[in-house]
Amino acid sequence: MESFVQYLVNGLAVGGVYSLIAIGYVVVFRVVRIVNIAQGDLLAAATLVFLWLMNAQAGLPAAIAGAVITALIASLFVERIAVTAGTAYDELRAFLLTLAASQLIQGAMLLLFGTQYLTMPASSPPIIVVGNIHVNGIYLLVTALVIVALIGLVLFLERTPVGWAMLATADDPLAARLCAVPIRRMGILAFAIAALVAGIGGAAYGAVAIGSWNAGTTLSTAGFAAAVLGGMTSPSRAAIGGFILGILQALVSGYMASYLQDPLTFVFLVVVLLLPAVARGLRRRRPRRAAAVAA
Amino acid sequence: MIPRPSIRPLAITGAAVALTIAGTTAIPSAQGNAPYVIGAVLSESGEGANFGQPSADAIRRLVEYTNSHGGVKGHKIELKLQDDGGNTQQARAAFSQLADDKNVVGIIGSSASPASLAIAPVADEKKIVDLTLASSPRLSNPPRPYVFQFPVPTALRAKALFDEMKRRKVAKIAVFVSIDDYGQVSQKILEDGAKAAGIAIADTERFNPAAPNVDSEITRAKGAGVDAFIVFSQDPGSALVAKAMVNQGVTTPAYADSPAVNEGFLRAAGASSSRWIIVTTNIDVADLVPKNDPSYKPIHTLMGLYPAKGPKPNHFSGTGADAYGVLIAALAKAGPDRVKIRDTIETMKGFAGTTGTYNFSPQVHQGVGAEGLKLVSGAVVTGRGLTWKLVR
Repeated sequence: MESFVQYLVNGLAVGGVYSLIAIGYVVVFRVVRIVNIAQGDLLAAATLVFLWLMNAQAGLPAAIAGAVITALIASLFVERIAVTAGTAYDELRAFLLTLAASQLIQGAMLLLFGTQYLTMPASSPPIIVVGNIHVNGIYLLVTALVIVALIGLVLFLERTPVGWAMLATADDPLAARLCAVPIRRMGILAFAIAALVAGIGGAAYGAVAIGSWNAGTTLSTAGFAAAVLGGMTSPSRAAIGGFILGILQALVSGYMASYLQDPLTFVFLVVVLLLPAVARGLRRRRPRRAAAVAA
Repeated sequence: MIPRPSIRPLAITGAAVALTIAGTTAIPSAQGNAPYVIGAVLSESGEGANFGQPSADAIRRLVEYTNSHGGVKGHKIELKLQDDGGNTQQARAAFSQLADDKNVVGIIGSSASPASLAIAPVADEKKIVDLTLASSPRLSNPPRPYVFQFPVPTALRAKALFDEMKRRKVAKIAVFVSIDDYGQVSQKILEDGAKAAGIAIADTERFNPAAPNVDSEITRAKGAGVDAFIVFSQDPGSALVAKAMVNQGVTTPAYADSPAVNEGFLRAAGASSSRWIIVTTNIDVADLVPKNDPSYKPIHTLMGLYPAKGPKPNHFSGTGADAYGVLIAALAKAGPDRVKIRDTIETMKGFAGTTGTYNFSPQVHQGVGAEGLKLVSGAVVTGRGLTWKLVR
């Protein structure tokens, strides 16, 4: 039981970071119908800049600002090549262009920071000990941060006119355009919001993990899995998907084996995705069979 | 920020001798002669970039250095360096292409073992020397005619750590290896090494060094009640383990292979780095190397080629520099004849490199032994913050 609680705690912070990536996927996907596979790279780039600034003793606010600005520049770059250069209506081409953008961002990080990885400046993290369970205080902070970011996003979407316009664009671009909603600008705004969560996520990831030029690939895949678990439509469900994934990975590492973490995560994902289809299939097949027997 | 030990920019006089050993007669004007072309296939991007980039960087700087010092016997060196992206197919193709270029006298590479294993048969087939920077024992045991290996074998690095464990009465350990070729080969070597040293392995964790954390692996290894952890992983695996140990309040001593020796590890481990013992080569602790050590001069010559501020050469740079040094020395002696170069390297003795002294023979194509290995530990030094301390 003790280990179980410890595993839950272990998965918390990383789950929170997956949640932020998943939210980025969902916001962009809903508004411009593009799966932006570079979402994890935005976060990885933000992580590196955050850690670099922290190590240059720029202070926490400047480091977070640097992370957000980096993600913003990278995200608008992705928007430009995926939406503007590729057509917004050719989703496959746009998806491939985000994949190219992901490679470009990784290449830029390799050029800027080299192969050396970065971590927080040496200092002892606040460790809370309850019985035999060790909780890194920063993990709790990151979890709280994700929840605050999520509440902020939901409030923005549901309580502000700009948020309504975004939701309208997401639901029906044509109707939104007829109502004078600048849908192109809504697309840019979606990428900007994705960048904001990636920037915050980058700072959070930097605080709990290790920044390296190629961390984005793993993060993109995990965040995408979390977004799909949440159904690709709702930021809150995507966030829950992120936490489920983070904790699941911690449990797999703990109870089974570390190297099974990634494959089993995807087995789980496939099962979750197939369950409704299988259930539907069974329901549909039964009457048909009955009819065949009757005939 | 961890203050870097300041490395005085050394005067580069006489350094050509250190890197290319006696025998190289530098003629000031190299303009008239056709350049000697050397090839390199390294992983500057992709999976092996952590090894490949520092090696490629060092080799480029050395080529420039050789040329600014008159080249080799009046011939400038021309480097044809290809990036294999850590991909075995690409490495093989790039190597074949270089080997088919009649001007190329020898090829350095590749950086990681899978790519090097793909290259090795091509080197033998096309009869051109391959100076590999990868450490898989399969590359030189048994020796292949045209393949020469430069890193200190993994088994010797592991043995240095097990010997230290025995001195410290360690009886039971947990093994952490990365899920890649290096980790998998190391796992077998560690199992054999532990057996030979009479140390029991109570838990083995095969983990992904790109994972966000390894907290759960540490939770489990902690439960096995071991005297020490040992980590053989690519970057940043050791840093992940160190961070997770701090998170879970684990104070068990830990041992690790050379990839752990870098600033990122010190930052991740913080004060807990004093509980780590890491095996590495002289270049990573350059300012702890005594002046009379044969590797002192090559190390400091190489360091002098890097700007005072910015990244310093590490052991991957050092291995690349040593391979380049051996190739240039052979070229100086044998001239641009592929077979003669091979024969010269095979009989080369006492080449002082950054890693140690290289001795090759027809039976031994892996040139350097354990004498250049150092055991280091993190330490907080007043006024300098976290730095490396020599254990043995």
